[in-house]
Amino acid sequence: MPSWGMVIDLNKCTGCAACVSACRSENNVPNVGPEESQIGRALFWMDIVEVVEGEYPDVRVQYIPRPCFHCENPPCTKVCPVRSTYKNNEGLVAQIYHRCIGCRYCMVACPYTVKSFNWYEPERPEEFLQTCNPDVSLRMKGVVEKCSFCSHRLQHAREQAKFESRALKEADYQPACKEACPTSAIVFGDFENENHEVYRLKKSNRAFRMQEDLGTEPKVVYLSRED
Amino acid sequence: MKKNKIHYITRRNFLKLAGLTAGGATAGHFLFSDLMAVPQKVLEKATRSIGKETWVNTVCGQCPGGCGISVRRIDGIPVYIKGNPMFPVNRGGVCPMAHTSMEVLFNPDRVKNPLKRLGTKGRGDWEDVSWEQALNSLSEKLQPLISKGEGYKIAMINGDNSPLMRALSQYWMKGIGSPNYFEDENLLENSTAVQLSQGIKDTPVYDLANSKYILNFGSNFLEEGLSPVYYQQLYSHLRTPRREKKAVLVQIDSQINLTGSNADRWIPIHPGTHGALSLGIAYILIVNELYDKDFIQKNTFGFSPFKDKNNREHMGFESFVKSNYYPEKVAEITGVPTEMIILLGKEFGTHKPAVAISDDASRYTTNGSFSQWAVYCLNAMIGNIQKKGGIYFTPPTPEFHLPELSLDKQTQKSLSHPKVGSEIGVPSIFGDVTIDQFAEAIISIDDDLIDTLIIVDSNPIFNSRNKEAIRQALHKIKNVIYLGMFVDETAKHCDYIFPVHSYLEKMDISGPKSGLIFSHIGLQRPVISPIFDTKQAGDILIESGKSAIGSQHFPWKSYKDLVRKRLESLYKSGEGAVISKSSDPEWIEYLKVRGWKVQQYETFKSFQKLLVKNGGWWNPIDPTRLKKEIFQTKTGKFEFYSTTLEKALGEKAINVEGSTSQEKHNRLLSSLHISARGDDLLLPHHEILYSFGRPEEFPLLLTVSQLLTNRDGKGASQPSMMEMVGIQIGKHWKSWIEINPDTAREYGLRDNKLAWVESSNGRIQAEVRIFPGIRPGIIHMALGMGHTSYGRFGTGIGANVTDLIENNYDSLSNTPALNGTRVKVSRVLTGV
Repeated sequence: MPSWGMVIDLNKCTGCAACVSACRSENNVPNVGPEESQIGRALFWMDIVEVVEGEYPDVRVQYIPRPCFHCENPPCTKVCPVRSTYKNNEGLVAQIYHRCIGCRYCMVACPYTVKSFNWYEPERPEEFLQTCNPDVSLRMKGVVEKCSFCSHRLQHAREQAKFESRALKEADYQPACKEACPTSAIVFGDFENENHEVYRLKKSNRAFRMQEDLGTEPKVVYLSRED
Repeated sequence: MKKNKIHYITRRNFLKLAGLTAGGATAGHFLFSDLMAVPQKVLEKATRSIGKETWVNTVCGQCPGGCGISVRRIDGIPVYIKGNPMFPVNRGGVCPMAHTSMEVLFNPDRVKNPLKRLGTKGRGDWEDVSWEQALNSLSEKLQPLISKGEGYKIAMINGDNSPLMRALSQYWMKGIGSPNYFEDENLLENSTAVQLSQGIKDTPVYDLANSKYILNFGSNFLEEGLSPVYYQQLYSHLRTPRREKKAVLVQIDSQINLTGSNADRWIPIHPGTHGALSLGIAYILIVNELYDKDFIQKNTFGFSPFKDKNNREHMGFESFVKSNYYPEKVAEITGVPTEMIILLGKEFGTHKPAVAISDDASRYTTNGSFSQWAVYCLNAMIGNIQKKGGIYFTPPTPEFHLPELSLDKQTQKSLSHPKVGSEIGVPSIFGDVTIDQFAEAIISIDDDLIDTLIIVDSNPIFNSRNKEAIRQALHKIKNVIYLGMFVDETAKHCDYIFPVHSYLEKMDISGPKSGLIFSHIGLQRPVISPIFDTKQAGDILIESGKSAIGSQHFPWKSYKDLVRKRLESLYKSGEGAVISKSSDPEWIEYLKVRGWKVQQYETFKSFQKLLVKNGGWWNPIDPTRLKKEIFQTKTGKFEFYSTTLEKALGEKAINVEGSTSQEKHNRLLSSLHISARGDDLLLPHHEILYSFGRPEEFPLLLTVSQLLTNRDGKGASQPSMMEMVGIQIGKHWKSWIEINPDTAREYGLRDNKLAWVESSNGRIQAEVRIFPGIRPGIIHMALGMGHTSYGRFGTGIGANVTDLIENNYDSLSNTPALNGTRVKVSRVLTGV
């Protein structure tokens, strides 16, 4: 079975947030408005983490894109009382919205805080409903959501490949964030497939994973900045 | 006639309503509400159609960058946007704003049909009118003026960045006989430095991809400028691991912005002193003999001492720098330590190829031109003009001329009137009359100077630092017609609003004409038919031109027809090619070696068909141009001693009051706040930043920048952009001020709490962000927030920093001096 994963080269990533915007557009991520975002209820499947090191004048600032890491050993799935979040047979950590009871245990369990809770029904003017991506369902109030590695695209790609009677190619399945990245910092593919670029990149001597000591084995690998 | 009042609902009410409709939406129904009327045809498609997917290539219109995009449509309704991988500007990448274009297209606050003012100006009451009535009212105003030979009483402010639309607007104004054509500040070119040294008005292109050492004087090229995504691509190339040593990017700025955070080194500098630092670096190059002697001897003028035709001796750049900009003095001016200046100079002189670039922080100041000029001269010192890894100039696109206008004597006379506002304030040396000079002239002179004003896609009341003057002028001018999509701050004070298409509904030519290493033309095409009763601005001009000026001068059926003519001119030129999949760098390298073969198209139709399908045309041949083309100075060389400036100052001084020419000259310079005299003036030098505020009262300096999520404030119509406006630092739906921890402590400011920022112009409130990546004594804010009228999403979000900025301009080019206003800060006291 494939092991879908992502490599983010921090040498190339500028922190421009095109990935965030593409993700929100592709996955119909709702806006919560000024007051709710003030109390930390804004939803981001792809977020950007700011790292400021040093003191004036020796300061280094870095912006790190942070999707769901789709851990090989995910802590979030273990605490879900209703198996709303689980690891599917493609290795993706999936989320079944209709099953979610909104207990938010998974949000607490996730050491990377990638999960968001829908405090309200998704609010968007009627006009904007037409521009929603029909491939991704809108989430209702009281459920947890997170990055899916654009798994709906994988379904499409598999169907298309089957229709054309061929194997799935690397370019067939690429998430929206990767597609939008103007510096090609994000690379996506199958960690197990040696023909995919990620296979080579994850072995780079710059490769690291977030909080590796936790044993979660994230499938998002960062390539550190060269200084 | 139906009366329609545009409602300014409060956001709380809006959320309630939106909650109601969204509740219905999740249940699978589209609720109809009076407030948010969706065109029935679109709605039906969205609910009943089969879900057929199509992709269409066009060009993004969210900023002047001109990125090629592919739009995913489901049953003809756009739902998603990705970069067009064939397009040479962005090669498949896009910035955050491209994705939210649908929020502009379907924005519930777009003006849906022509509106006519009801009641007094600025009250915001409107009645619906038909297009026929609207266009008739325009031609009724135009015709009597034109027939009386008073076309000069018609003015236009244009903010549309399409090169074709700009050409048509100028043509239209000429046909009407009016010199009063103004352009939005956003369309200003970054060209003064090149003009001073080379005599051409061109924006330099930096070959960053091939450079090994980039000395960046304040340019925030990853976020602002002509085409941020193009520069993101170059940056990516720079950071791709290769066998040779990694290129070094040095950011010289008072604050760490997006570009600074990606630089290898940040040199904090005092605002407005970039020029002084570059002269300090020039000093190091001179004393260590690290400059390109061969290039300087053959191609430059004014480096060494010389005698002019009157046999007067001039010291030249070399001795001027040596005696005035030694590192200790430069360190004192800039706040950059002496050792660092020496290090930068040595690195810049020894890393090859190196390039010095300047924009934004070093450009938008009162001394911007002189600062940028000094930086630009560093490039000539190391001889990297038109060299790999250095500086190039965008090759021109094949020429296209609108028909020759045969004007009668009356119109010609009308055209020879002076531009309104040229008598007001300080005459700019190279810049045009500004919009606020125009406004000041309108309010200060009793006459009916201007009868009709047409504003195209520009929001001067929001962006200007002289809002009150523009507001008063709009109230004084009898007929003000606004061509735009929203009832924004400017539209609110107009008489008519003619709603225009969004970029996803129109056919146009797009893309910056300079700033890129190749020449290209992007083609915008409709991805959906207009969803409201709107028109394209170009069509309005053509229609009104036909009736008011004469249909012989406007031989096109519509603007689309004009676009087709432009494409025809490309076809006929035989240059370049339609962009295609093979336009990857390796292929281009191969073509450069083996010789460039132009693609052949059997007919114009086949050329047009391919161009429409792929989205653009480009000409990637070697951009190197002849020396006489790029050095159009009196001496025919690159000038350290600017004869262009000498000549321009002489011409401007004639009209200044004074008994002797010396007195006139001095008066002119002091009114421009230029302190240098004699030879110093005509050589790159440092001028002191100018601000009305007294340092004792306003001890801090304000700097500003644009964000990739909002640009100059256009992103505020899109809720997704406001939600992620400061995504990198966790700020949503708000403005913030950045301040150094030490300065914050001094003024008792706390992180994430509100503070007042006050200048001699006004005061605003914003959240404090304590950040070590900013020099002490500086306040930094983002532009484009704090709309007072921009639809339900943008209105009342954050604070508008232009309320604080003093209305100063750069002394030579009339570029607004957005940085360097003196301010003070204080805590906002809440509760008891």
